[in-house]
Amino acid sequence: MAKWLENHKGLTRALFAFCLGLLSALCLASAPKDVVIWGPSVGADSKGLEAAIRAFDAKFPQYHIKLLAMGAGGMNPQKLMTAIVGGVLPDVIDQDRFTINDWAARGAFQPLDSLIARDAKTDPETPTPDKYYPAAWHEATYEGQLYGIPTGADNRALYWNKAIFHQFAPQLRAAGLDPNRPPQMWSELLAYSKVLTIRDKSGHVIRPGFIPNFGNSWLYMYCFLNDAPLLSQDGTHCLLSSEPVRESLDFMLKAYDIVGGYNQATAISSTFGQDAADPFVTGQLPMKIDGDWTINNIVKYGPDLDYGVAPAPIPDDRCYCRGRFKNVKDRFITWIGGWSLAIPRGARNIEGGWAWIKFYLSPEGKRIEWTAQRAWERAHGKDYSPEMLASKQLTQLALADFAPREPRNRAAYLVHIGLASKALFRPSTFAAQALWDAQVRALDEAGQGSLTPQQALEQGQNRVQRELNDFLKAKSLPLVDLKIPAVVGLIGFVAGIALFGAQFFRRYSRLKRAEARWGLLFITPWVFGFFILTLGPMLASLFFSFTEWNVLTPARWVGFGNYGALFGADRELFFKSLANVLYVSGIGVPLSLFTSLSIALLLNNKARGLPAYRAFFYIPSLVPSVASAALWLWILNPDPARGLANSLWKSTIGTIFGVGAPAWFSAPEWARPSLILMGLWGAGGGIVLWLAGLNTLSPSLFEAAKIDGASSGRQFWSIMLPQLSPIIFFSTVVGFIGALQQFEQNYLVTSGTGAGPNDTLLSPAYYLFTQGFGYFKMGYASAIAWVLFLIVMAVTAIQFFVSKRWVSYEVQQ
Amino acid sequence: MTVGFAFVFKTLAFWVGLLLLVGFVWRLASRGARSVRLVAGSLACLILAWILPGLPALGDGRFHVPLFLPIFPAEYLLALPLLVGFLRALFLFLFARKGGFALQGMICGPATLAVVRIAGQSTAKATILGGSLSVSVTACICLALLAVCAIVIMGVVQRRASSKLFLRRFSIYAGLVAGSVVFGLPFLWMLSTSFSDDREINSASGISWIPRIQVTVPFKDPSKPYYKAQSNDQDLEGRILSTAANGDKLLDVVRPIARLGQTVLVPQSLLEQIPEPKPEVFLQTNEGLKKSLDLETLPNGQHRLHIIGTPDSDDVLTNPARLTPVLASGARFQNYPDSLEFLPEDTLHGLVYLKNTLIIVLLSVIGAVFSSSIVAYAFARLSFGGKKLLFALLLSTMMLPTTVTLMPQFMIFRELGWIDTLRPLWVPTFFATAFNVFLLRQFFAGVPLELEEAARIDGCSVPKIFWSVTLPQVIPALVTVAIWTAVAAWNNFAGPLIYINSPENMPVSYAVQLFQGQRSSQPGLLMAFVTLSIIPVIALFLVAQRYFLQNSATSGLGGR
Repeated sequence: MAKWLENHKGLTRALFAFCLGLLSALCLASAPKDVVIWGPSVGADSKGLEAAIRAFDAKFPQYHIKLLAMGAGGMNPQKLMTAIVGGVLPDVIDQDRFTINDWAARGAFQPLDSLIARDAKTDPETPTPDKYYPAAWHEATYEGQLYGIPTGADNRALYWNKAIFHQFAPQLRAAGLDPNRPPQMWSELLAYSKVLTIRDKSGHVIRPGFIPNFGNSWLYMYCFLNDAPLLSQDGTHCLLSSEPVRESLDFMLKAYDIVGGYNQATAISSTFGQDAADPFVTGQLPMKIDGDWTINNIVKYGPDLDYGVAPAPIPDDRCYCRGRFKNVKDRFITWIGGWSLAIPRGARNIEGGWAWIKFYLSPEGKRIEWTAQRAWERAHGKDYSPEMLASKQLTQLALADFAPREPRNRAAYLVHIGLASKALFRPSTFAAQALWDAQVRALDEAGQGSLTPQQALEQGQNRVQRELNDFLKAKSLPLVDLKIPAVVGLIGFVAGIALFGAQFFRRYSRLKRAEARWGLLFITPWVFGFFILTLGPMLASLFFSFTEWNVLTPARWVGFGNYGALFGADRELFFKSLANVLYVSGIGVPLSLFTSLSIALLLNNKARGLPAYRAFFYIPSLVPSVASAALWLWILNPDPARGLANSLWKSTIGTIFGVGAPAWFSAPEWARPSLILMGLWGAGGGIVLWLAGLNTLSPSLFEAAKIDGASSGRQFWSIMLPQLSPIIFFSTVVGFIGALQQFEQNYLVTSGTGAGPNDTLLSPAYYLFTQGFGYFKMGYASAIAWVLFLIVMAVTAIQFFVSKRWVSYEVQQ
Repeated sequence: MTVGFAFVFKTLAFWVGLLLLVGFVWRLASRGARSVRLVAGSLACLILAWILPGLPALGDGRFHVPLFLPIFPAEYLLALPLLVGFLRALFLFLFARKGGFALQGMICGPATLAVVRIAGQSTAKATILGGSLSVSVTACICLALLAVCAIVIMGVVQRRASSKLFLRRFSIYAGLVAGSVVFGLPFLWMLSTSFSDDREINSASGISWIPRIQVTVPFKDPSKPYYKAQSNDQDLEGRILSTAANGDKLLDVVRPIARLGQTVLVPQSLLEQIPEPKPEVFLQTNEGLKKSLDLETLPNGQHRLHIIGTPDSDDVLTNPARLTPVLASGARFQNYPDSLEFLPEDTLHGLVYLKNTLIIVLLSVIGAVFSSSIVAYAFARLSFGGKKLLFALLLSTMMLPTTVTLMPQFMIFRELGWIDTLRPLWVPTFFATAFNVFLLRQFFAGVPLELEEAARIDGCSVPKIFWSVTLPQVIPALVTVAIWTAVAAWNNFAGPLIYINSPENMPVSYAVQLFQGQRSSQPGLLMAFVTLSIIPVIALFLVAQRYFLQNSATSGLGGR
């Protein structure tokens, strides 16, 4: 190929020129003003969206949509934050609605009220509050201003499998329950679940009747049902440990106990698939509380399922309107969620973004989207049902023309529509993410039994309350004048460069002079890179660790407050995360060192087919981390029918020793070993290093040893290992530095939500990521980073100190 | 004696007994010698383990093999070496009066306490090393049989292999094969899924290594004809929606997937009816199962079928409950073209991503090898003022989590006007990263000094010595740096996501995550794309192998 190119130089040049011309022509042609959209994922679900974008471009020739998809995690907070700070903003973003206020409170989004007021009279497609479900509209409103136009409005209801209810009719009747209707209140739900749960002889649950948190309900849903606000009316007090919330949590735990306890139930539910493999859709689960997207899944993957949808069961008192619920208006309610389209403050093409929002959320735009999406699904042999929308008008349109025709599915759709107007929503607060995480963690801790429900809720309440206090208090803190650190930084920069330059003219002995100058010259690339790209950001983060800085608004000075909180109020989580990385690095690093060295020693022999073996060992480290996380999540699926590891375990260890297969990432004691295992799979990456090391050994030493009659074991210990010691040293130092800062795997395995069972997948770097980008506490995150920095430094220093005893270099300096 | 103590004794007795037994088997096999002492010792220990109380009777008819300690947080394992270090230092300091160890003790002691303290914070109770294994009678018999087999095999091998060489070669191959099976299994699994239907991957019908796919039969459906057409030099497939006034047909595009849902006006003359692959299903009728083709799903939920063997225009309507899909073992190759078609059309089905990745990889490798080799050489071999301090600074740049330096770094790149270009991804490699410098320094430090001294005496300048004497000695290490840099640049996903805003500037690693949607994912396509995307890296590795396996150390040192 290369030779061919060389022989046809003229041709390649012409081709190159042509490509260049084409490229510039393309650039010139893109005259219409770009409307930049970030967030929505592209894929099989977005065929309709793509059609709508094409229609928009055709209808508004002055605009051109540029879509940047973000894949799995939705909008990446890191991306959005850097973009806002750097002033390179998209015009529209797709944002989970309940976090809109987190951003709006810090001035990141454009209020949309003025745009609505301007267009409401002239343009009938303008989104106005009267067209939308109030809950969805209010959720995107912060302090009286609207920051995002709601798109979807998923709400939750009880799905029940009529066929299973009929199959168990005699047992249900025996327990005094009606098999022809779903449970309506909590006590009934427990009773139904008890009857519908199937256990094997030893009492092990085979099929749970009802898992409280499978689907999409969380503690939040049960709190809504129990009329238990998580935040006080004025939004300044967290009420997570109040009596009604505890009742909700207690109910969840009770429901878990019926299906074998929290641990067993989460192990079971972690085997459940999504979409086509949703156990409710495949008819394996009698009941679940989930959102309306389930209808779409049933239409697509389980068209024969005999099911019904009913409002989620409510507390008994609420059902009978007694006690606290004496004057309750709506007995059956739901919780509404979904996403919104928002315009960041400072977007360059606000008009274009606004035009897109209006078009996309108009009947015309939606009709195009749904038609195209339905065509795509049908082309793939599946049917399609649109999800619930925040706009009443659009929901009616969907119901009329696109919702499934079959009575069962239609009835389900109607239940969701009926509930939407009685929906509640998560409080509009600037600490929405913190509150969300707190309720997730409280359920996990109480369920795992590491804390009592009361303690777990109190801890969560304290954490959220601190976030609230910090935010409210922040305004009274002194603003930081960035000029001082900037000037100090500049002086430091100049001084550093000057000091380094002065080294060139230092007086060395005559012998040393040339060498020293060459040495300084040789390291110049690094020194420049260090001063220009690295030192500034490092010092900046050190400086910000003494401030309260949310990135979006100016920093405020808090002195050692962040460090105080880290070792005071937040000690538990931070120490837990430290314990986790110590565990994983302490066992994982030596283990992977040992593994890769032994593989390299094996590969260093003469054998047939070595290149193939080498490739086999090396390939795993080439798989991108996103894919390897997905791969390992399948392999370590606790269900032996789906997970490769447990399928092998069941047929070998399980049958020989009678040991039950572990639940891997969903069991607290197995989550960290799973992480180590995942890391070990990539240990083959290290063999390149070892093979390189083994090949720079001088063979003469081995020959000499052989002549002296040393055994091969002796040769290994006395010649090979000492000669390899610099590389072993490198591997341990770098391995520990990497492992103590581990982040990516934890983030991908938990898909950025939660921190694994009992926080076992929390690492300091992951912790600081959530603090910095989830809770907008970059100053605090910087403090964590610097504490971690000191720990890593200490570990490395110890290794350097100890290395003098065992690492042999050629030069003693 | 508490239950805990009994358990510890029992555990020790059991494992010591087992070790002695293994020793006996080993001796029997390797030398043919019997040792009464070993047998007696092991039996005594095992019987002791049997009769000692310790584990609560579980009454499941199985023998419970104790595992180390009943409750033993694995974190304590970390504290153990530190504790040993501390005790050793204490002992030496107290009795041998060696002052040098005081520091070691000062480090190890508090470190032990810290580890134990932190471990105490975590609430993990049951661990891998705790609890007990329950062993059934069959398992015991199997183990005994296994031991007998081992004895026999080892005896045979001993007799046949006159030299040690045979055993050595045998164990090397055994190790290689076993290792590559363990390491290759997940990868093979990935390959297997890349050829599977998504529905098959998600199904709970057990692990199947050989994918099963839906059988399809090409069929010309008379009531919904399927056409092939040419439009702007692109082959399109689809159905006719309507006819325009001038006789042109409005084609609803089905393939290529990237244009699905679009409509195109095509002159009648360019249309050609082609058969369309239709899924084969079994239809349940009164006369038994009938092989038929599932033509389409109607809005009312019914399916329109064509029963094989009847005239083409005969359709049957039925409800889906009476259908079972026909599956066959086979690979779904379609995932591969589909995964490329899945990518937006204006990226030329991923070619633009590939171009960007190649630019980043190429420039990063050049930058990393060039800059880190000279910097590393200076740190390893040249002496200058402040070297130690600078090296410590260099290492410390690796230790701060990048999450907190991201924001300021982003500002610097913005000031340089580099946002939405590839530059933030490769320019930094020209300033030598700490990781590569440290690695190469270790290799430079291992190069024999005599070579350089000889060159120096001959009057060579420092750059000349570096270039022609020392650098050739570490070529394998340079290749290592090149490979690692290339792989890291290839897979770098976070960097592009932050610094690049336009899809046309994104690299391949960005495309990988597009296959995981918010609520739905396409594992088959994802794995097919990942397989495609790592093929170039595997090729690179196979090519680079030759270089890092050259034993460069022989080149300059013939006479030593």
